[in-house]
Amino acid sequence: MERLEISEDQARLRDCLQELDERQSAAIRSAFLDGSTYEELAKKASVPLGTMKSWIRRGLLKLRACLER
Amino acid sequence: MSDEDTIGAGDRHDLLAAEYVLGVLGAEERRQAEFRLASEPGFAAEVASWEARLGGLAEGIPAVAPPAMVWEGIEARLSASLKPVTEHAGIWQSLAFWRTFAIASAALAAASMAGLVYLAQAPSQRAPLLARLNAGSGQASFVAAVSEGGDRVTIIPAALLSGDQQKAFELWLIPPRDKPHSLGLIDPSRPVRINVPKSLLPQVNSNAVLAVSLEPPGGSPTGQPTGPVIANGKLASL
Repeated sequence: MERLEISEDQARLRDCLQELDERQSAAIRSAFLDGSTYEELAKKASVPLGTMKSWIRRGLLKLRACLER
Repeated sequence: MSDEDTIGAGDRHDLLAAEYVLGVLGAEERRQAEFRLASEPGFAAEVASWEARLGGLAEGIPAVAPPAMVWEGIEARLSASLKPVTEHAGIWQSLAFWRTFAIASAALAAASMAGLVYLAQAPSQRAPLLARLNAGSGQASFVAAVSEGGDRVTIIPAALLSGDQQKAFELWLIPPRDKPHSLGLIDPSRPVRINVPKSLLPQVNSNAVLAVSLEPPGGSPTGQPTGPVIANGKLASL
């Protein structure tokens, strides 16, 4: 029962991640799984720090909106 | 295209919790978030919500060895070397390291954190336990949250402890009229999730006390606290 609920949550998270720009979802995944900071992520993606922050923050806001729908 | 221009102040506030859970913050911002986590229940709830939202990202990562084995590995590393613990700052400070071994439990821990949030809607579930571990001064040093099943403890530093780098911080579960049982080593600078050994599960209830003692690197050599107890607090239902 609990297992089922968890997998439903995960399916929703996956669907919502797919609604994001690819760059946004890739950055969020990478941040969570690698434990990289904004600075490290920006360096890895060769983009300015502000751009990386923007991708992730916008992605998080969209993700929250999607999950709360 | 600066965020400061286009993302509202309210959203920026909420996003700090998300950024903390994601682990993207720099050291200083992270410390600020940890301070607020310990002092602002609203912020802690926001962090718990984001843990629940993002916990699913850890899915697909194979389960890791039980923490006991991880700790044995760390102990072996430490005791194999006569160098001071500071020489190992790399692994102790590495977020990637902590994530790697915390991640398998992240989904379940997130589910249990979500329990804090969903409790109102599911009154029949066993209430999660919380403890505030105070120092002798009465100031909170750590905050501990126990999962609904009682099998996971998340322990979060609530104060900046000027740690003696030569000492390890060990967490103890002390049931009433019983001796302390070690729950493993914790980190005074970041949240750590601990799996409670099965044999101790029945003891994890609102009668028990959690305590943190200072021990030699690698933890207490005797299985009982050998150094000073720097913080303790009773578990209580939320």
